[in-house]
Amino acid sequence: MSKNEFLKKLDKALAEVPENDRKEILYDYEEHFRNASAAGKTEVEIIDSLGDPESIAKQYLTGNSGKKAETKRLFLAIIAGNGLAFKLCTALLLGILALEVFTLFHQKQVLENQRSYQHQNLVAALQEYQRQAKFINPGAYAGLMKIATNAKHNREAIKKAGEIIAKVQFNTLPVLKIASLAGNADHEVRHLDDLLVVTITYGEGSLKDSMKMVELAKKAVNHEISETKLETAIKYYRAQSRAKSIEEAERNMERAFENL
Amino acid sequence: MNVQLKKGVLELCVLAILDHRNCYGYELVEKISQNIAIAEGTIYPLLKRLKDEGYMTTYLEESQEGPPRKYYALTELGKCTKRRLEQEWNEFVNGVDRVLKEDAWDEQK
Repeated sequence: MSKNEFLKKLDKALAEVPENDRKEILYDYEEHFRNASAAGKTEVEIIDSLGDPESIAKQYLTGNSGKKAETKRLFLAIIAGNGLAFKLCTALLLGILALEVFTLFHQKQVLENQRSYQHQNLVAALQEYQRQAKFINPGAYAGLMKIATNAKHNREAIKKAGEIIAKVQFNTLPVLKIASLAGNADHEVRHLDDLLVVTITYGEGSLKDSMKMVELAKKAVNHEISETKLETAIKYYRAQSRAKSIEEAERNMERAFENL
Repeated sequence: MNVQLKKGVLELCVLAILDHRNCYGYELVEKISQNIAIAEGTIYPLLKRLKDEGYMTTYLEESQEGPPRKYYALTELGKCTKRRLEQEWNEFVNGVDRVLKEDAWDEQK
């Protein structure tokens, strides 16, 4: 079997997985092939150590049909039982109980966070995004909830961050960073909204550029650059992304930062 | 080794590695497969599940060797879970160890 055959088989076996999810899964394996062959492995060796694509696909499908907790339950159960066979029944019950308690505790924490939050509208907006987004990234969402809970200002920026995170799977770190800066700022920064949109729309896939945007946000929040200058930088950055050649893009980028 | 138990242990391994520092998928796979015999393909479904359940987030970082790599980072929930699972694992191992030693004692008698 070749790399392409492996990926094709995996893709076919994942037919019932939503397209975005499936694309991301295939991307993971393409990345694996890239990195493993950079490490000097042959295609045959890589496929051998990965295992059968159909049984890999099965694992994603089990995860999808709500059996996610099964593994955890068994693990907890085995641990609680300390390996003694006659305790297995009690252990299973204990394991399930432990998991339920843990889940309840987690839910309670989220609810308490929400209750202490003053801007109910913002929380409602974030929840709406969560409902709309099919492939929400819960880690990023949890981070966002935390930011929203403590934020006094720049509500619009945080709301926008929720909207953006609901749409993207990758590169959520810079968005979270900007949202966090916005949340902690003791004043409104008008152009943070634009900055967030630029970070993802134009800087997608490029963490280097996204991090430049985070720097800009930091400066804007700390009053090191004015709102007007921030606006200019955003404009230039948009121009850069529409540039026809890399040289032109780089020139525009340089000008953007000289203007600060 | 029991498949389900192995899955639970793998989860702990992934959380433990990421508790140390953020890694991209292949780094995680290499670290684990160097120490535990597994089909490497089983780690990616686990990573996706851990991400979907909020234990970690991902971000892209450019690499010198080509397209950007997907990095994994633990969330607070992930860090807490790692500590809890590690403690449970230690208790489990110690328990098994005690049982095995009792068996040896029986044989001597």
